[in-house]
Amino acid sequence: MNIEDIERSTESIKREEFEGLSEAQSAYLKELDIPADKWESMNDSERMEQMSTIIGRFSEMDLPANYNLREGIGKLFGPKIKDYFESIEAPHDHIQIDEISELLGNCEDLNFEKWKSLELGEKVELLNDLEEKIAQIEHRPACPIYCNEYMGSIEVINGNVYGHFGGYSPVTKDINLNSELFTSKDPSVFKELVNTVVHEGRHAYQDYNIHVCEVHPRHSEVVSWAETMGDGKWQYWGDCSTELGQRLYEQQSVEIDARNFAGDVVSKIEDKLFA
Amino acid sequence: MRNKIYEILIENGYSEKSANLVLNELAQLSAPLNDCLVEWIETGNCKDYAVDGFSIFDFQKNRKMKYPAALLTMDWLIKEPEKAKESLKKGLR
Repeated sequence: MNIEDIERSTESIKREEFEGLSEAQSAYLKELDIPADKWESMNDSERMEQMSTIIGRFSEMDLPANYNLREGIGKLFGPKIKDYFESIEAPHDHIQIDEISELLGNCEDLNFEKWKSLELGEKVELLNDLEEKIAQIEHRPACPIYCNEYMGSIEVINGNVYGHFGGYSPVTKDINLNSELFTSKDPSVFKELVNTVVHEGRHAYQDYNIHVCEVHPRHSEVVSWAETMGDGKWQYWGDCSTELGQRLYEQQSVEIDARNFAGDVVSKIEDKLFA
Repeated sequence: MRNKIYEILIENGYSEKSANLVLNELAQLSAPLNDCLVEWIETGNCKDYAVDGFSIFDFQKNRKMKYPAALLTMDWLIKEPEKAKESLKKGLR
């Protein structure tokens, strides 16, 4: 049995033993309840701050990964707070994937033939516009997207695209994309660019859920992402393959999730953009 | 030996958590990679090894991997060649 197995079995014991919040835990949370009239007088950033504090208190309690946060908030807080929580909750992944696919698939400038004719500045502006819309779908703030000239070369060998495509920084909250992704005339490279925009945006979504406000509808997934974030259990982030090797990098929960999410979007729009 | 490997990982820029994680993985290296590790720990000498067109030195040079990371990647290629090759075919993001 390795460390992960031990943690998984401990987790399952925790789930079996969990019989709801204790009186002390409920009271601790209810301290943050706010009367409806006061809530009405608060502006959106104050409401968001209050909601983050509430969610933060739930997180402090080491509840089971499958704890139903929506139900917990509904039981402990007034209807205004419950409604607000539901309004900031992001759609389920399959809906996000459908909406992002529709957005990208219907963007004429993102059709590869049109894309190739755009100036570099126009391409960067287009991707920033799309990122704004993707962020709205994901209920998170948008990240600036930059074209980075210092990320090395991109090579296509036997149809496979190699190189450092880009990254999301949890510190500066921005997305850097390799400049060669913008200038290549190869459709397989363009496909990787689109995939990378969605992939890095998903990392921004994971980061927002863990560190700012949990809007993802499945708490257990956020718990799993938190383990592989920079300040999480494994304390790694980004290209950890240089220290941990390719397997551990590939198998981080945040990477698996971002890869699958972006892969689903790209497969839905493949015919429209890359035909 | 475990303590010595841990110390050398820290000397090579690993955080405590990363060092512990890598330490557990290095303990399960396949032959002959375990010999490469011992030589690196005792002499600082990096030995190369190649499988199916991939080599430890390539991982170090082209993917900027530290020697222990390159050993672990080669170990993955030995243990799960299909999965590892699929992963190594992709770019980094």
